[in-house]
Amino acid sequence: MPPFVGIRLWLLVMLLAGLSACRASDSTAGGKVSIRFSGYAGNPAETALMEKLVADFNRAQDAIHARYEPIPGTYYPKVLTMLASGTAPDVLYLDILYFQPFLAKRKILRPLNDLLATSSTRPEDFIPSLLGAFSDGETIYGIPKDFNTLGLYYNRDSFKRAGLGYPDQTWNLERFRQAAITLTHAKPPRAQYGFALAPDTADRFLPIAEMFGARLFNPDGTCAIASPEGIRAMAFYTGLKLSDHAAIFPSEVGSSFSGDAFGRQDVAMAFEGSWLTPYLQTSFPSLPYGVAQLPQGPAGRSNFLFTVAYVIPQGSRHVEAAWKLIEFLTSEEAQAQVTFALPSRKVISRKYVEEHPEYRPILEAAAYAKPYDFGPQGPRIIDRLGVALQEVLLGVKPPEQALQDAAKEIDLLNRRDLERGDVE
Amino acid sequence: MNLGRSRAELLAALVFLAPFLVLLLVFVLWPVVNAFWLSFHAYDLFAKPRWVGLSNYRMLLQQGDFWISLRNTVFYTLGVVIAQTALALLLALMMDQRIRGKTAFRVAYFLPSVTSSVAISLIFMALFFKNGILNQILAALGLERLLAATGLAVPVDWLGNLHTALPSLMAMNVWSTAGFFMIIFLAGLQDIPQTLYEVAELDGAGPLAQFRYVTLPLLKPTFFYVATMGIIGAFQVFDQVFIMTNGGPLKATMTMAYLLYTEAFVHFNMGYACAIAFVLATVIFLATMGQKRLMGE
Amino acid sequence: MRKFKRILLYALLLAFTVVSVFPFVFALLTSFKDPSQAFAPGLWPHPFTLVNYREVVTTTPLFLRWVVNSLLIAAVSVVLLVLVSMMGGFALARIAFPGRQLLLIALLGSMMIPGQVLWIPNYVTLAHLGWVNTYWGLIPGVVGSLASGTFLVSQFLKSLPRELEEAATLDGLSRFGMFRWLIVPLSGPVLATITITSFMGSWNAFSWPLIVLNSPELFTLPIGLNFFKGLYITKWTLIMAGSMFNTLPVLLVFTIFQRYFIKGVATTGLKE
Repeated sequence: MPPFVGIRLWLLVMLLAGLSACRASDSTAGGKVSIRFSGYAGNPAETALMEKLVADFNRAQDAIHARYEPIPGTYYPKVLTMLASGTAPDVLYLDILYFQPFLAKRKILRPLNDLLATSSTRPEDFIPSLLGAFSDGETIYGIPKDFNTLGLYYNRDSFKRAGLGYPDQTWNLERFRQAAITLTHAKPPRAQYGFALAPDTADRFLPIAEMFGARLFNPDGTCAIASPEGIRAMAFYTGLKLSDHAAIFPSEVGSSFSGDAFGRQDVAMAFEGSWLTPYLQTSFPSLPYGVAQLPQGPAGRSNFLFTVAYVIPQGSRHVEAAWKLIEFLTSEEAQAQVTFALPSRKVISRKYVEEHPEYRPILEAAAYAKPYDFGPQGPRIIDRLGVALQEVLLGVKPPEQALQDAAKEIDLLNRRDLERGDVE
Repeated sequence: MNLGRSRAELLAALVFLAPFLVLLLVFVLWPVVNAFWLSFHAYDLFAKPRWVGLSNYRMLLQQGDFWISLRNTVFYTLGVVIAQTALALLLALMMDQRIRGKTAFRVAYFLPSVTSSVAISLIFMALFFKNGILNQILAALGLERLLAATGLAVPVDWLGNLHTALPSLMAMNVWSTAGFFMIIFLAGLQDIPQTLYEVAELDGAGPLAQFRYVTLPLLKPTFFYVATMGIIGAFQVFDQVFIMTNGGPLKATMTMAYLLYTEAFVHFNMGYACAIAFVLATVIFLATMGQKRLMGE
Repeated sequence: MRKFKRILLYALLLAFTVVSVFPFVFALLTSFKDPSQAFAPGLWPHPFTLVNYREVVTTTPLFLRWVVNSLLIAAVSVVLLVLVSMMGGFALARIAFPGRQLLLIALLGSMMIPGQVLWIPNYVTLAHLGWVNTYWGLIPGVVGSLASGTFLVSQFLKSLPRELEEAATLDGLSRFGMFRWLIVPLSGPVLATITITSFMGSWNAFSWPLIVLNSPELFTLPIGLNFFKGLYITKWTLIMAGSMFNTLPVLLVFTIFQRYFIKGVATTGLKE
């Protein structure tokens, strides 16, 4: 055999053997049970903490080895693909927005009541609205890990320079708007705008809509966002950029979210949750910022509860081990280390806010915030509203038409859900 | 004797063909049939496929996204193929002359085509930012006024502006493939016998006439190859859209391949996605045939 | 006049060179910029710093793993593709078997099929085989180049003079022997072409590995880079440094072997 071909064949065999050994398997190895745990990877502070907690967990006991495999970007498509092909991890993040879709069909989630019954983790220790958000009646499907609401982050220096008083309880939307206009300037050292708004996500717009008195859904389930109040809210929110010229898109300054534009001091205010705080501390430690509650609107205050729970998929073959990991991750010690959200345990949450007063507005909003949950079609509804927002901001449609078109499609989505019995 | 021989032939053929056949059948031919079959079903990977007849194709025709993606993809392909073919030919003609440093130029032009689409997408994302280097250069060259005259808001948010998003991706595509096709044109040019040019010159033909009557006709097969490869490639554009714009803003950059991916792997409408795939394949086929007809092959 | 034309020619060539090369230069220079200076006006880093590269390697140790993964997979893909297309091309070119015409047509047809059509059925097949999130699952991704490679080989072999093989048969060489001892050594050019195109195809592959691979330690470099972008989307200097990991090695290899690359591509065009 010419050496040429011979060597190649031999190499091929070796490499194939080597490659087939490179499998991310979750089988038992050396007596230890091996489990996999996945979550989002968009927040470096969160990723770092999860890695540390998982390492702590592995060190604290010998029976289980947990692997943390964060998924960046499109988390839910990836997760659903893994679930469909039977390769899903044993513990998953589940955002409140995706709870109903996951629950409504496909029986993906494993109820946790039996595991809770024999565990040291007690449901009563958790903030009730959070646990309730992940339950269907009496059946609990997820243990909430933490929560967030939106706060008004503001740049202290910018306010001082503009001669404005800091935002407080008395602030309303009109005052906020005036402040944004005043704060927008082109003076050295650099131009700054009053506010950053993301053009394609509806999660900041919805609270404002509710503050104007609009509702997303009527009692009968039809979409109500195209009401006069909703249109007024859309006009107000988009007007900040289009007519007041006091707001910009984060992408215009190379940022991917408003908090980053705020950190870079391209804008003086942003609506963000406490996930921004560790980000600012690591990336922009010298930024003088404060946090206040969102200003109130004509119809009062509104906010949303953003929360994520740990869940176990039905297909997991190591349910007990998975539960042990969840217990550890939601323990008091673990929760005390969270900096990018507020802990879901009542006591830890309160203690945390006492030690870190800048989180107080976030906690106060939790008293009236509603879970960010819009039914089995939630994600698609939010996407569609984002499209409507973008249509107005890009000048394609006026607020009235954008919202009416969105409302029609949202109704269609919900009706199709009921008829076809299948859902994304 | 004869029978034994043809039997031996068959056996030999099988042995040599086996790996190729197996791979081709399992991962190319069978999936095509399977995809066609799936396009008449509703399938979400969790439950069994459910027969829906022509419903997917009907929904396709009614879905606004489909027509938007078709329009975008056709526009994209037309623009990219014309630009990259013209640019590649121009570069090849220039490189066919006697010049110094030919290797260096060749390397420089070919460089973009060996780089991965991910790296290119990320680099260009940074380039295209509103406060990025491209706008800085345009401002320094005084070209901003020109852009403003067209009605665009300057500095331009290339990937965020409804009108410039798709053209920006197209320009990026041409940048990354022109060099590759230049090489192919060069090979084709070098295949043309020098004697033909000499004869034409003797007949009194100037360089332009030589180009028209000698170069172009003999370059036709190469042209056809470049155009076909270009069309097939451009119609399937996915990576850049996925990484840079996710089909946005407002679906301005949604191509058919991206729509397919979204329907299949985000919404899990596998059957519907297969219908889209077949329509895409048909469009590519028609475009290639049309291009062939146009060139008179 | 002639001189003017020469100047114009060189000016154009240089202009295109700048356009071709500028994005790489930009990325390289940005990767040396301090993160706070990411969008400061000007190309040159002020200050010049290696902090991005340090951060890439320390915060994402997987980067080096991804390079290794990509190398391994590319190597195996090349060997696999070369072997299979050589054998298949040989059979198509030299063995008269029933159904040869049909197979040829199927081969040509499959080259025209857009990859997206195959995504879903192949993914479903993988799910049934349990190949999701494994390297075996990457096989459907390379099969696309298999058809064109085999076709290329068959065309090349057809152009070889038959006298050599007839002489070999008279000398008593079997089919297999002929393949090993005669055909393969003679196939240098087409082997080089297939090696290079399949290597580049595997190294830069994105969409199929994106669909198949889930665990970060299995990622190839393009997928890893996309993952990295998801993690650090706001840190552009970091992202540029990451892209350099992907780009610089390829640039280096390419500059050294560019003659073979280019010849390989040129051959492809001619054979159509």
